[in-house]
Amino acid sequence: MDALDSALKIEERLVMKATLAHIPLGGTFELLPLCNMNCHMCFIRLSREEMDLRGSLRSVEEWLEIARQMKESGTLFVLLTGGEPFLYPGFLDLYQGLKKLGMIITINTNGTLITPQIAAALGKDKPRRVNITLYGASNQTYERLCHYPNGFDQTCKGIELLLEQKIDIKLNGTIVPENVHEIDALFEIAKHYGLYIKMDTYMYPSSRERLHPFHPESRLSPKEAAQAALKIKKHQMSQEEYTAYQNHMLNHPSLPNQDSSIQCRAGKSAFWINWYGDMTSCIFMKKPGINVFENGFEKSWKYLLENTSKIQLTGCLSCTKKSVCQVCAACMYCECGCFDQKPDYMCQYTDELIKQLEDMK
Amino acid sequence: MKKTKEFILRQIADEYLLIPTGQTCEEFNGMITLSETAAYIYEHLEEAESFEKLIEMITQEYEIDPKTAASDAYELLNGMLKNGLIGLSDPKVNW
Repeated sequence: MDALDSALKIEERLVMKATLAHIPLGGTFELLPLCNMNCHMCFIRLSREEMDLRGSLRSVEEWLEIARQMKESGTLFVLLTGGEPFLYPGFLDLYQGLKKLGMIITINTNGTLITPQIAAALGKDKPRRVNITLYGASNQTYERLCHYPNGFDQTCKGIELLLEQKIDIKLNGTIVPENVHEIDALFEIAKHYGLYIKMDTYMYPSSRERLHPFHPESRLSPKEAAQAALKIKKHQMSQEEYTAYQNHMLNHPSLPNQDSSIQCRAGKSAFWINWYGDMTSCIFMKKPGINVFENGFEKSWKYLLENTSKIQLTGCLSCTKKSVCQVCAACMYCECGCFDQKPDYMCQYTDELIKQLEDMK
Repeated sequence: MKKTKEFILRQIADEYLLIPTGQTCEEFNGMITLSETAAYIYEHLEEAESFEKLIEMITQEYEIDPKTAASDAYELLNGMLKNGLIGLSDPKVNW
């Protein structure tokens, strides 16, 4: 989940240059923790009362001032998310202000609050893309998972309103116990609307600032997650691509990879700012973190660069499956609370993927 | 010459980029990369009252001979005209 994926060629070049030169090319504004849904696995959502106990929302002008500083430092891509970003007071003012600064905007939303007025306003000055999270393929699943009975119908309506405005949409989602039976139906919905869909089966066990801990039962077991992942790949890949993937997974290099630095763009050319103003390298990591509203963007970015580069992922150094495992700093942090232990769930998930692919041969 | 589309010129990581905004996003929602000189021309073309003046401005800004500057600028402006990024501000003098 970031502002830079599906990059085009020019963007790929920019991303590469920015990562090497430590330019903060892409950033996320997590505008608020409020959401009209209440999903089991969400690690951001707070009720209004819980939010009021922790702080208050930043104003449009406060975010725009940070955006002006970001522009000076080279930020081009901004992802607006929440909570549900369309609940943020002044969302369209902020959106339009960011566009005027020359930012390329992507919006993450559950799609249920998109009205004809919002769609028309976005249609007049289009975002790069709207990412809509699809939680299931029926109202029943939305009720069970999101406690939002008519969520599916409302999401479809939101998709249709944006398509009428010719706005690019990508469907995102995570497969969990409540929607695992609907994988085929989710891909059918994407096909019906002619949209790209990306479904993840690994869920980061994050609880962040929510009051309750992460409930292990809110995600699939490693075996179920691997089964679902392979089912999704069969939807997404041609037979040739699937065979190539299978060969890659089964014939991976057996030598351990000794590089223990962070491999993604987090804290190198990408950053995340939560609704408090805490700026971190990615959504899941609380540290290193610094309040951008108190310290300004340039100082905060320097702090993040310096301290993210110190992180060494030593937990998986001796592992021979690193080249086929999707472990990352955030995964280690969420699974173990540190960077020097093996994240057991991810180890089991990778083993299961390999085992199931072997069984299919 | 005048700009006919809404683009914001940005310089990031040694790249000069035209980012569409407003109504222009309806027609094109990507980005255009320009060389440094092309970015200079796009940024300043409305300040020049003629092609000759534009070439004078370019040669004052960059170490380039007028003939090469004129040839490069002609090619660039034609491309921009063809793609509708700019238009004539004074058709009587073809500028």
